[in-house]
Parts: sequence; structure tokens; C-alpha cells
Amino acid sequence: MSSLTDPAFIRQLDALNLLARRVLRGSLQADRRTQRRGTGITFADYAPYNFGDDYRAIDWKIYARTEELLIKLFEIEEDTTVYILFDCSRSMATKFDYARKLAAAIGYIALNGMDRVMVYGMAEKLSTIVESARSRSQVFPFLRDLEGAETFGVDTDFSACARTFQARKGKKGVVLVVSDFFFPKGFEEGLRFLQWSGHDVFALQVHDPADLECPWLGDLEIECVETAATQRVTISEKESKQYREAIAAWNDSLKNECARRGVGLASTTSDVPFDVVIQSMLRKGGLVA
Amino acid sequence: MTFGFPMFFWGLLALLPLAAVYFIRTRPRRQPVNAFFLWQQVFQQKAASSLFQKLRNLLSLLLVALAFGAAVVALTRPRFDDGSAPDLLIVIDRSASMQSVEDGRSRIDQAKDLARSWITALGGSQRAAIADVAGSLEYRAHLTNHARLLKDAINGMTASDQALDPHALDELTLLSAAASDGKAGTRILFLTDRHSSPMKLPDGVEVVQVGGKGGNAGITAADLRWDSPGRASLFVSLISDFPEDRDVELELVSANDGVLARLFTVHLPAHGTANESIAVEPIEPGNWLLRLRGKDVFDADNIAPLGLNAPQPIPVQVAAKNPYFFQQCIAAFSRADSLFEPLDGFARLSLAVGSPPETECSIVFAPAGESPFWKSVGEELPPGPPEVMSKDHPLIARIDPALLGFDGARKLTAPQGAVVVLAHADGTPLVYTCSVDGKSAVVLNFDPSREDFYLSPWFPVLVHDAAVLLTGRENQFPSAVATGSHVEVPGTEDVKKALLEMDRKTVPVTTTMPALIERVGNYSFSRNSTDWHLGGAVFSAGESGPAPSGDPPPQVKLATGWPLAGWFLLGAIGLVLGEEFLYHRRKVG
Repeated sequence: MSSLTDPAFIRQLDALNLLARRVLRGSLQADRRTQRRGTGITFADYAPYNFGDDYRAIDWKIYARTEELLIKLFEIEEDTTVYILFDCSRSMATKFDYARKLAAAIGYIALNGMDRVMVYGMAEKLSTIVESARSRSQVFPFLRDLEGAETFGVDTDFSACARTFQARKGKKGVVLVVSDFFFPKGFEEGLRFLQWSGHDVFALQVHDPADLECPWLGDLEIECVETAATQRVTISEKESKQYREAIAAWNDSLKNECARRGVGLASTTSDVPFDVVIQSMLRKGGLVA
Repeated sequence: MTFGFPMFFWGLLALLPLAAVYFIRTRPRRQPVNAFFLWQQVFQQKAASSLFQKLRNLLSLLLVALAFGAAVVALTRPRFDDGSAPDLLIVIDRSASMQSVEDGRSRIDQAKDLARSWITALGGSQRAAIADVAGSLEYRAHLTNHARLLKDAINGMTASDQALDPHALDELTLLSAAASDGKAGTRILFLTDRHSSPMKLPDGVEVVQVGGKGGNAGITAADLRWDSPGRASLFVSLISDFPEDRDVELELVSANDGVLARLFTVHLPAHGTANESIAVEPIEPGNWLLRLRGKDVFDADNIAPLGLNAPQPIPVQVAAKNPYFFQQCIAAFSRADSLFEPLDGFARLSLAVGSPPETECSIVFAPAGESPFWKSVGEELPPGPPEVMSKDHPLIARIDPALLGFDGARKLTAPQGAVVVLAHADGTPLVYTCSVDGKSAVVLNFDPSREDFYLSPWFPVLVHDAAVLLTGRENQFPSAVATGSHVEVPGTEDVKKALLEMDRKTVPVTTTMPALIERVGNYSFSRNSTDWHLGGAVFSAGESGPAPSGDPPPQVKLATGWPLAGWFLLGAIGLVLGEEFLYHRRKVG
């Protein structure tokens, strides 16, 4: 396992951060734009005046031309809390290091953008990895805490974790779920609950390439890495193909669910360099913009 | 069912460790997976076959055990009979007619197939011997249970060009008699097409007929002889196995350049024979081929190679006071069949009256004076009928001695070793042959000038037969002989050349005399600076004609095909393959 505080890794994070600055073109304070309208300095839209609105926001020039009271709306520029829900179940063991680097990169960029970052570990229950970090000075504690995370639990319960998370944290923010999304009980309810809670939800799916294929044939005793359950099976080309189809169907259902809910989704495998993934995500926008 | 080697059943004990090893071997390897619940989805559809999955290891063990058991049973050589089957002597007819092709396969190949099938069925638990027969019985493999040796012996057989000798199997009489008495456990099976000269098989020989549907016409005899210089007579005899009359065409062509000399038609009655004699003119000495045109089952008898040798007259001189009648006789035989070539000087043969000249051979009438061919010529003998001392001698084959007067015969003594043919009542030889100091003579002890003997028909006959006898031409060199014959080429020196021309290929053959004419073709020999031509042909009415009428031989009961052990072994292999399939599935899906 490579260290998250390794200078070479930090240099990679710096490079990604510079790229993020260039892409975002934001200010030092709270770079993240939200969809909420408020009292910032960047004009967003017009809205009809209603009783109780700030009369200072009325655009009198428009009133002079149209005799209609309209108020100017501005984008709120605020600091945002980035929640990273990090899958720590044992199914992540083969890609845990890789997923941790992804989380570290995203957290690093957020901290440099003056956002607040909190990291939680998910398995059959929720555990805290990084309580709260804000500002650049918190980068190294953040990375060390993240580095100390380990896999735990016996079976991932995404829905339970989402409920626990919401119970603990009422403040809305950006929720980034880093996982392989191999949740036997499904991912739909968890995503729906997070979105219902008002968070901007993003999914980052990380696969081990071996998970997508079935390189072994013949008589096997397959064993669940999380529950240690076993089953004797004979895997022929037919079963291998059925497994690949099942994996593809599972991923398609995740993609469809995210698309239907407007949840951003990025999928990658652990053989793709993590910085390439981050760059791609930055250029596509949406997740860290 | 009996078992040749029941001790192999102890091998079944090996099943116990085999089962133990098998259960150890079939433990599957463990494979951790991240998406276990997806694998469960995949295999939920296969719940119906879960019982098979559970029992599959036991099924594999069962297959292996069955395969092992079948192999053990195969080793014990099981048989349905009581195991006391006798040895087999398989005799295959490889005479010329076995070359016949029916339904695309020759009869010899059909016989070999059947024999091989019997050998296979023996399964190595019963002994057999292989022999073939044409001119004589030849053993190819002696009694053994080694199937490979027996099959190799069968594979090495080819049909010969010779006819089946009706007495070739007589030597089996003792063996078959012992078998019928129960003294020897040998069963004799004779595979034949039954196309042969009539033959009496020894008792106990079981005949298995191969092919023999018929549909053949062939040449059974042919001869080509000089009539006169530049003209020859061709004689041919044919036989038909066809059920209907037919006209067949024959052609006489030169074996050297293929030039057609004669083409003629012969009417062949159904299941009958036909003879034809025609003149061929002009014709040259050399090798010739007489071919029967048309298709039938047997090709080798459709061709009769023939030899036509250059005339070789005997140089002859006359030593008589009155040579006229001798000269006329010589001239007549010179014109007719080129027997004589008159010479004034030294000749091989002399016709003499009184004392003969110094020639290799002499025919001497009225012996007188001194000669190594007689002694003590005395007074004239009284006339009287001669006594025949050598019956069937060629000198008197064509005359009646009682009609000869022997007028002027004198008392004399023949030299030591003389063959007296006719003698006077007092024992004085009248006609005799003798050889002294490398010279031969026929002495005719009477005066031919008396009683108009020169004008009698016996004069040329005696001269001709005596000349032929003295010069060794009493048996003229044949134009063609049947294959399997031995031929003595005239001459005294070593044979310089002996070639067989067949299908436009020339191969050397044995130069030892007498030469065996083994194959169909044109033979050429060179001896004493003289070339001799001869044809070898099948020439057998038995081989070419119809099979003997009468009831077909009884059906021979003998197992063919794979032995029981072979089937068990095949079953074992099948079971092992089945288990290997399951094992493969377990290993690589």
C-alpha cells in the first residue's frame, strides 16, 4: 500500500488541484456554485416581487419600462461540505488502496477550495474516518486519517448507512459515494434517501477488473469475501458468460438509476491511473465543479 | 461364459485405493469472490440440476470403477464357448481365378478380409496357422495365437497366375484324418472360389466359398507354329462361363510393337468351349500376344502370350552311292517344316549307306565295314519278322515293324550301351541307337535299295523320326505353356538371358534349367547363341470355366469381428472417455 502522505503522491494532488483551479476559475472563498439563489454578487435571474422580498433587490429600471416589479436574483457563494461515503466492506479489499487515492484527491481539491470535508466508512454500519476538515492546513491530518482507514464489517448495508448518515448530519452538502456498489440489498434505496435529504449526490464506482470477468473455469468452491459463505459450483463458458452478463446488468441498473435521479456517476477500474480518472471527472464537470 | 485368465479378477481389488485416490482428487479449489450474490443469481437457474451436481463425483467414480472392471474382464479373455475350440488352419486359394474382380473387389481380397476377420475374432486365445495354395501348398504362418503375425501373413498374399493343382491339398489328408478322429484339434478351412480343375478334397477340410458369381470367358489353350516360311498356324481353344451364347473377338498382336496381325471372331456357346485354327501370313519370329477382347470378371485368362521361334533346320549331308532318294527326302522335309538344310560339306547329321562319315549324328542304313557303331558285320540273316525290344520307342511310334522286311540285314554286334529297338529272331539288332565317343547314330540293319524300300512310305518316316531323335528335336520347343510348367531350353551352354515381358515391362527371371514359368507373359531365353521365345498363360479350363455344379459347400460357422474381450475393452475406453469428459468439466468447465 502506498502512503497518502508520500511527497510524490502530494505532488500529483497538487497538479490535480491546479487543474481544478483552472477549470473552475473560482475565487478563494467558497468556490463551489450552488443552484440556490441568494445575495451574492453574480447575477443569476429575475423573479416577480412578492411580499416580504427585499425591496432593495427590485430592478427599478425594469419597472420604469414595464411597470412590473421584478427583483434580481444572485447566486449564493458559500462554503460547502463535501461528504465522502467510503465503502469499507471487504469486497473493496482488492481496490481499497485505489479508491482511497480517489477519495484523497477529491478531498484535497475540496480542502484547497475552502470547502469542508468529512469522510465516513460504510459497511454493515457507518463509521467515521475523517470527522471534519476545512482549509489547507487540514490536508495532512485528512490524508493521515484516510490512510488509517481499513476494511471492516461482514456485509454492506447501504440503506442503513445512508439513514445513519442523515441522522448524524443535517446540513446539506455534496455527498460522494465511493464504492463498487456490490450491495446485495441494492443501492436504490440508499441513493433515494440521500437525494431526498437534499444532498447533491455523486457516485464513484470503482471496480477491480477481475470482478468484471470470470477467469476461472471448472469445479470451484466460491467464497463470499464479506460473509465467508461458500457454494460448490461448476463454471463453464456458459456460466462465465452468464456472470459477465449479470455484472453488466447490475452496472446498467446503477447507471439507469443514477440517470433517472440526476445523480452523477463515474465508473472506473483499478487498473486506470487515479489521476486520469480525476482529470476526466474535472473536465466533464459536475462532481467537483 | 468361460474365462481364459480368471486370475486377472484379483485386479478388481485395486478399485479400493482407486476410490480413495479419486475422492482426494475431486476436492474443488476455493475461490474468493466479491460479487457472491451475483454468482448466486447465476446458479439459482441451475437448481434443477443440483442433484446431478451432488452426485456427479459419485457418478465419476462409478464410471471409473466400471471402466476398470471392464478392462479386467477383457484381460481375462472371456468366451461364450467352453474354451476348448480347436486350432485353425486357414488355407487360402491364391490360384489365378482368385484375381477375378467382383463388386469392385478381387476374390483374393475378399478371402483375405474374411480370414482377417476370423483372426480378429480369435482374440489371441486360440491358435491358427495360415497357408496358401496354387501350384503347391505353402505355409505362411505356423500355429500361433499372435494375431499380428497371422495378419501379416495374410496381408503378404497375392493371387498367382497359376492354376490350382488338384492334388496340392493331398498332403493335408493326414492332418484332416487326425482331426476327424479327434486326435488333433485342428480345423482346416479352405477359402476358395471353387473355380479349379475337379479335385477331391481330403475329408474334414471345410470349404468356404468366396465370390464365384461367374461371367467369364477365357483362353484355355493356344499354339502358334510354322506352316512354311513366312506362314504360321494359330490354334486357340476357349471356354465360356456366361449363361448365353456370344461371339467373341480375338486379336493377335506383336508383343514388341503392338502391330495387329489378325483379328477374328469365334462363336462361344453358353457354358461351353470352342476351338479355332487359322493361318497367319505373313508373320515374323518373335513374341506375340493373343488377346480376347471384351470385359469379364477374370482378366488374366484373356491373354495368351505366344512365342514363334525362327526355324532352325538341321544341317545334313548324304553319304551314299545312290543319293537320289535321300536328297529327295531331305528336300521334302526342308520345304515342309524346315527340318533339314542340305549341305555338301561338313554337316551335323549324315544320311549314310554302309560306313558313315565323321559327323555328330548319323543315320546309317546297311552297315558295312569298320565303325564304332557296330562290330563284326557277318553273313546276311534269313528274313523273318522282327521282335520289338523297346516298346513305345519314338523310332517305331509311327510305323508298324511287322510290315518291314529287313531284307539284306546282316549279323553284327551293337556297341556297349546301345538301345535295341528291333531285333532279329536270333537276337541280332535290326534297329538300334547308340552313342560312342560323343557321336550318336541310328543304325538300320537292312538294305534300303531292296524291295523298293525307298519308295515305301516308311522310308521318309524313319528318316524323319531318326533325325528328330538324334538331334534332340523329338519334343519341339513350345509356343506357349501353362503357368506353373517347367521348360527346358534347348542347348548345352549356360543360359545367357532369361527375361519376362509383361505389361510392356521387362524383368529378369531365373536362368536355371528347367525354367519355371510362373507368371503370365512373354519369355525370352538365350542359349547357345540362339534366342528362344515362349509364352506363359493361365491355360486352365478349371480356372476360366464355370465352377463345379452341385450343391454349394455347407455354411461354415466361425465367429468374425471383434472378440468379446475387445468389446469389453472398447466399453472400458468409452467409460473412461465419459469420465474424462466429466473430469474435464470439473477442471475447466
